[in-house]
Amino acid sequence: MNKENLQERLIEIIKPYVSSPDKLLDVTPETNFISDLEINSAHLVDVILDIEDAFDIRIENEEMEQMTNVGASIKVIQSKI
Amino acid sequence: MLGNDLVFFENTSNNESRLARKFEKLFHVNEIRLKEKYFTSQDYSILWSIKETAYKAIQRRFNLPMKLNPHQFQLATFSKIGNTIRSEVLFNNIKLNIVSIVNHQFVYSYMGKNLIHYFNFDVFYFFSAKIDLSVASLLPSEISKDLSGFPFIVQNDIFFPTSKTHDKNFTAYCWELE
Repeated sequence: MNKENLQERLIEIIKPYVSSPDKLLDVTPETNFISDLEINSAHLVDVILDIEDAFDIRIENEEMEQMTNVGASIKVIQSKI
Repeated sequence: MLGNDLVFFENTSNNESRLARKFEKLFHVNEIRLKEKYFTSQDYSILWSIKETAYKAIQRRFNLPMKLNPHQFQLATFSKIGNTIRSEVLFNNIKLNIVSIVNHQFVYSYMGKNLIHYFNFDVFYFFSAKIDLSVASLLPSEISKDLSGFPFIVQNDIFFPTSKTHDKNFTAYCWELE
């Protein structure tokens, strides 16, 4: 799966936790889950669990720490599928 | 990053296995064991408030980037006398002493005031929207918002950044003391 496809799937995963759909219109690899998309920390854990379910992978604590933006998350997912 | 949005836990986790996985991401098994030695309920707000207090003090002190790293803040010791819990949280090689006061209405955690090298941080979780007067007196009288919409309190003419989250029957406050 290429980066563009992964980004599309990731956007679908984070959509329920983003307060305004407009925030997802200009997503780039640098888009930060906290400062740009305003996902709260409890929901950030939900995003991690949804990623695990969607890609049938397990994300370790050290990897979870790195997943603060779209690009870093794609990198972690790519390394596991 | 450990926010006071603990209040959303119940709402977002309607299935037991998912809730268990979520706790696994946030707490080390030893932390849960320590907590369960003194509290049998499934209430994790005590643990969360201790870790959040440590996290916020360290984050402010070292200006660390926000990330989801609750396992880096490891609850090492935990003792309870009456309503007071004294705990030690480790972050790398730094030991942080946290004091928590817990009763049926609230859990209130703060950094040991003698730790002048770190910002003191207070975290206050209420279990009920109805707060009795004795508890209310512990709270800042008024929370205002600055021009950017960020909440703050004023104590002795000094501004302190504050955050407040509420959801149904639950309210969480936290504020920096110095």
